[in-house]
Order: sequence, then structure tokens, then C-alpha cells
Amino acid sequence: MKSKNALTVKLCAACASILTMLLAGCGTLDKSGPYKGDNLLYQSEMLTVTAKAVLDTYVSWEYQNRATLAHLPNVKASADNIRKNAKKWFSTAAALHDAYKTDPSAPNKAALSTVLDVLRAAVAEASNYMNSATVIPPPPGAIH
Amino acid sequence: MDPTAIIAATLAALNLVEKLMPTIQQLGTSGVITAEQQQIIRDQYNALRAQGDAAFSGPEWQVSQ
Repeated sequence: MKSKNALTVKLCAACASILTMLLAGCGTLDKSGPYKGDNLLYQSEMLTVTAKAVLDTYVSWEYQNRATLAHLPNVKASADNIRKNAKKWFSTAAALHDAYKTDPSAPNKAALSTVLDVLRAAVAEASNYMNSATVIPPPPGAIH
Repeated sequence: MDPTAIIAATLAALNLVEKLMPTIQQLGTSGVITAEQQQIIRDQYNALRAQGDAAFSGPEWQVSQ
């Protein structure tokens, strides 16, 4: 039981960290870097990389543990929704990233920010489901 | 639920999430993000873009029946 609880706590902490970091933004960019001080461009690329890894984690986890998670149909529905839409979300983010990179105008900035919010929401959903599914206690006396 | 399966699921998720931690920690950096740190993100981003649709082609990315 102790090991399971420790793993659960660790996983919850990791998920919480993801959400906190994604929502909190980031530090100041050294202007000599590839983003030349453009925080939105940096956030766009950082969030894209992070979101892809989190969503990879989520759909893999659901795929590998589908039978175990059968009592949580919302997890499968959520994972399938991400499977159906992720390619579109990421391709849209890439296109709007490129548009903003070429022309950092207010409309392009707003459009990129909007699609990044979609990625943030998907990451939050995935993290919440992974978190909620792993805090369900096993039957009494099952593992000690 | 089978408790062994819970542990397996937790471990699988944990291992994958832990791979993200360096990136996540950088995202939460409150100080100056150096040019080298930025370049790491740029390289990861370019690598992901280079994969194109192949990034979503694994069995885990197929909508379940």
C-alpha cells in the first residue's frame, strides 16, 4: 500500500506541476537567444513540445490500461476526443506560430494565444483524468 | 479494480510524466532563461515539427473501437 500511495502522490505532484507551470508562464528570456526576447514565441514552442509529450503520455496510458480503466468511460471518451482532434490542434498551432513569427501583429498574436489555450485545456484535461484515475484506492487488504 | 493494474498504470504514467520534468521545470523558471536553454526548446520544437503526421501514427493514437 505504501508504494502505491507513494507513486500516486508522486504522480499527482507531477501532474500538479505540469498544470502550475503551464498556467504560470515563464521567466525572462535572454534576448541573445533564438526567440530574441519574444515570450509568446517561446511559450508557443515550449507549450507545443510539452503538450505533445503530455498527450502522448495520456493516450498511451489509456491505450495500455483500457481494461483497467473500463469503469471510467469518461477517460476513454476524453482520450478518443484528443486522438480525433490533436493533429488538427497541433497543425493549427504550427500554422499560427509561423504566421506570428513572420508577422507579430496583434491579430496574429491573438490567434496564436487562442490556439495555445486549446492546447493548455487539453493538457489540463489529460492531467486531471490521469490524476483522478490513479487516486482510486484498491480494495481493502489487496496490497500491503 | 485490480490493484496490480493500478500500480502498472501509475508507473507507466509516472515514467512518462517524469520525462517531461526538465521541460516543465524550465517552463516554470522565474529567472532569466538563457540562450542555451532556449535553444534546447527550439531544437525540441523543430524535431516535433519535422515528424509531421508521423507524430500521431502510433497505435495509441488510433481512436478506439
